[in-house]
Amino acid sequence: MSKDDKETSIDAEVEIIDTEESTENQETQSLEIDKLKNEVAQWEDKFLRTHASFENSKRLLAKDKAAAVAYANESFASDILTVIDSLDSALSMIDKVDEKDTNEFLKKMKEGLTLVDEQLHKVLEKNHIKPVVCDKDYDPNVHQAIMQVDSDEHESGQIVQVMQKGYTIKDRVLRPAMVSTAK
Amino acid sequence: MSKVLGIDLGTTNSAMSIFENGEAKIIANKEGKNTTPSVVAFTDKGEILVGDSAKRQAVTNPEKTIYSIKRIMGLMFDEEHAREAKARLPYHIINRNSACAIEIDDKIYTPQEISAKILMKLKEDAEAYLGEAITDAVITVPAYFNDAQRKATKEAGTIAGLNVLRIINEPTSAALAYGLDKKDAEQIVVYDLGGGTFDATVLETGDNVVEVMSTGGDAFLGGDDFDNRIIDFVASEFKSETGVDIKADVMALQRVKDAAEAAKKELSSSTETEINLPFITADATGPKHLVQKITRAKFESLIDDLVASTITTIKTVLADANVSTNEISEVVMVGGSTRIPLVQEEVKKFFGKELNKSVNPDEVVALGAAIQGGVLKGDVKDVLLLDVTPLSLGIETLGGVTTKVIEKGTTIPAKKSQVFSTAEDNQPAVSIHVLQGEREFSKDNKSLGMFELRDIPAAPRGVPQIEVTFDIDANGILTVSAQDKGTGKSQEIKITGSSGLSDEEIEKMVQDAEANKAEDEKRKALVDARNQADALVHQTKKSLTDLGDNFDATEKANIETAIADVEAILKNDSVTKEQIEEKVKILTEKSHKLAEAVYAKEKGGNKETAAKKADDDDIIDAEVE
Repeated sequence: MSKDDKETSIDAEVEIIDTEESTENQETQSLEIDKLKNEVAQWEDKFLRTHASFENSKRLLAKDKAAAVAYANESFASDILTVIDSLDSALSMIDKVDEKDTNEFLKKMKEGLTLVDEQLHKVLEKNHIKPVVCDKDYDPNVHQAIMQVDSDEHESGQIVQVMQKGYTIKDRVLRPAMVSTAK
Repeated sequence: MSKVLGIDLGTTNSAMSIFENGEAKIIANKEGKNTTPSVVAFTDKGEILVGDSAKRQAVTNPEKTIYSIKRIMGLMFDEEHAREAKARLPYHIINRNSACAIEIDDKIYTPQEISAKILMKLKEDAEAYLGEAITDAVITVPAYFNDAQRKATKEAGTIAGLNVLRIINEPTSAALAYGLDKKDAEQIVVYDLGGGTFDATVLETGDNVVEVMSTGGDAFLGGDDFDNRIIDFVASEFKSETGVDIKADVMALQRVKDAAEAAKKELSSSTETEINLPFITADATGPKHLVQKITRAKFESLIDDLVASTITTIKTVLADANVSTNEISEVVMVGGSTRIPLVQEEVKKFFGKELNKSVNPDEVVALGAAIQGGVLKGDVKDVLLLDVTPLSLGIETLGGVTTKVIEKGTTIPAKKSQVFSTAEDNQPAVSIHVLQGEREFSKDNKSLGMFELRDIPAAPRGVPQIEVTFDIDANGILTVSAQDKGTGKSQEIKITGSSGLSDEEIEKMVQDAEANKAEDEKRKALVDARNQADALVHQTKKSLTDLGDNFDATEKANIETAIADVEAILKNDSVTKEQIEEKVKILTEKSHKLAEAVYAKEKGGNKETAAKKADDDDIIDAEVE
């Protein structure tokens, strides 16, 4: 430290001897300092921006990942819906053929298939896939209108018949329910 | 800095994208879909629906569900295009100051206002995803849009609260997404077969400018036309087989529609598919099942006239631009229907060159718009292009094996450390041989330099901890240092030529590694077996010495014979991995008694050795000096 002090004092002496030149020196020095300060500020700004954009990217990436994980089953689930449609269709046909349950064999088949259907829906529900509720009111967020029909029992715009069941997975619509509405 | 939203405002569907960290990226809407139907609906309850929900209720509300608004965007009421659109669209198009407008419940809406509703939904969904406000946008329009149509599109953006930085042509946007603007002057064709329209455009690119030379298309040709061909085919086959008209059964038709679309998609990747719809309908004779095989060839025969008509359009467009097919240097495929193999084949055949189809054709226009946004904001220029290491960097370890420290493709600047150790007892120095390449053995990789770390205090093998650090700065200058963690002594080497390889050399090295992968792995396994055998011999000898006379002499002799066997086989250079393993197995079995004896001795309370052993597991033996 003592050496440093000494050097400073020598500088001071020089200043006194040649004031004019040193003022000039000081000016160029302070210009240089200003320039460097400016540059540092620019770099700092760039660094902070880059860092902020990195943080934002991380946040978005986490969001994307969460969505990707949450809806990972989406494509498989939508493929399986056609199988459920076929089963539903089979069930409703047996119903029509033997409405009064006169044929014991058909009755048992129907019971069995109904159980399979229930089983399937339980598995779906476990994976957050639920059938769309089709009560009277039509909701374009989950119902797709296929046609309009005349109906005395329904108010205009209400759902008359469900043509194909719809399903949701978590908060998203996997497939809207296909419905007919009253004119 | 706020982001610019790139918007592909389509006739049927719209998509949006942002430019972030040097890349354009599609943003999904609130419903989780990458594209949003360009449909706006006004419900009886006074609600305004946009997108999927609007599309779903179209049947119940045809006069107040506005789709394909783009078809009358910026048109005068008596223009031919406007008349054509009026004939096809179910909602009321009226004359407002001689321009097209729409009347809904006695209220008049301009096409700009309807489009603004779509833009507003996109804006809101993007803001929700990004968590920040968006004001700036780049919107795309067809190349044939005139000034009035472009102005109207810009106004739609303004109404939606967007500051439209620029309106760009859809084909130009697609070319941007493929980076074709950066190439030398050339002529390219953009083939855009979308949801409801077909457009072909000849562009001239070069010097970062893209100019439209000619454009043409079919305003009413798209994906649905292909689906309908399948539906018609399936329905007619079913009718001739069963006599049932499936098209009359709304419920059954819906299942056929879904299946037809799925079949179309499947035929893009496989040559045959089956539409399988059990219990599709029933008549007096019982349930009917629809099972229909469709081969790709059949599908192609159903649609070949549609595809041929697009080729005819291209011919006209080329003639308009006065260029021939061999003057076209790039062909860009846009729109979902360009996934159909027949479309790709026919276009490829016509131009006689490979197509640009690597970017998702549904998203490519929006991506290009975001890139344009990035350019306008200066983001593209500002992107710090960080290099990556073209090849892996590492050091040579026991048996001439390359141990990678920095993997190929790491973004630089980068710094990584790994701890190594000695391979011999009382080893006084380690030599650090710095290597570059993907091969398992150091002799096959490029040597970058070598140095020694000396004066390592005498210690059993595996005990000294030598930390080797690789540090590459932003200029690609590599500094490798080694430090003995025990003494703190260190040594380093600076290598400036680490990326001095030409692109061809790098490519060759990567290919060599790929070609020799199996062979190298086999050899590496042999070296590993050798190293393990060597370690076992060393350990067993040490235990024998430690136990001294406290061990059965016959057992000791047995073990010594086994050790000699292993040592003998290790001296043989042509030995196989299996031969080593066989001898090692014998030695291991014979040493069981030894292990028991050691264990009995250690029960006395020397736990330190065990702890040290665990530590050693992390240490990789370094090359012996």
